[in-house]
Amino acid sequence: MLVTEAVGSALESMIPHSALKSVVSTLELPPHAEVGTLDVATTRRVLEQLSVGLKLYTGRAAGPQVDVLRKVVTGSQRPVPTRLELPVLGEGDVLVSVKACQRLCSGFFSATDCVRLATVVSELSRNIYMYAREGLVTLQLAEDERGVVLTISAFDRGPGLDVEAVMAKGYQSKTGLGRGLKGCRDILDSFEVTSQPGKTLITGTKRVRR
Amino acid sequence: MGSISVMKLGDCLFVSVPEELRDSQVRDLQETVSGRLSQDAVRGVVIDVSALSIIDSFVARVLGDTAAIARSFGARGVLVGVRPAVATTLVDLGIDLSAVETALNLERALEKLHLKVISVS
Repeated sequence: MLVTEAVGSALESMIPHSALKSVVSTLELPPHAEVGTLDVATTRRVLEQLSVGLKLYTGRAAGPQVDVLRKVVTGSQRPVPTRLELPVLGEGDVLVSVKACQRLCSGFFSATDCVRLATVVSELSRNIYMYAREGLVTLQLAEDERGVVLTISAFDRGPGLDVEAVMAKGYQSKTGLGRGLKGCRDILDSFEVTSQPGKTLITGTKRVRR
Repeated sequence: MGSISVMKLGDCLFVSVPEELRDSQVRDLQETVSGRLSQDAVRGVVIDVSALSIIDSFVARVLGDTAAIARSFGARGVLVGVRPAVATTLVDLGIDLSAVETALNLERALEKLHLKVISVS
């Protein structure tokens, strides 16, 4: 079943029939989106748009109805992870990945956490640009039984780095970037670096606080 | 991509850091500041970073270097407009901005530089 149809029939008992069409038409959905196929970020956005619609037409803040609608939109399944692959090929791509992270995180994390995470992404993609010239930054928002988790990973085929030295206390590279990597570890919930010449992978996660 | 805006007021240069700081603009920033410093004998350089939504270790180093350039011309560099979330992140990341003086706002920056804006009416 299409998300619009499912939401439409669920809304019938919540708002006046005349308002139904306009609320459903405000939803930003991929064309012909089926129930249970939306990703984490889209599900969040659609539910926000629905709460705004409910509030507008009922005059009250939407409470338990949102949970009902969540079940309708997701088909009581966990939404598919939102995954962004951001190639870093030039300097401009550092900014692109930072912006993408800010946009992705803004609905889930606090404003300060968004800045923290965007800074982590900036450190990692700039590392790629400066030392490996090119690589790939991946951002993923996934839902599990405990909530939503952001996974940031950075991969490149550059010369590699001395993990122990970089993570050691007092390390400072000549570009000032070494500090950044250690700082990333402090900001994130988990942080892992594996590196050898030609293959460096950095992965970190951060859970949305509830 | 905007160029770096530098304005002179009395004994002071005001530098606005653009929202997006690319490598080319970093060079531009440092060249513009040193160029202006060598022409205009000023006592202070106020660097406005309120447009920056994030400051990573690279940008922090650039700002520190710019302050060092100012020092070599006998001027003091003061950073203004660091956003609260950015300040928190800098602490979390362990990025040291102590090479640069900071001030809460332009007024305080001028106080630090012992400069005063007077209105003549």
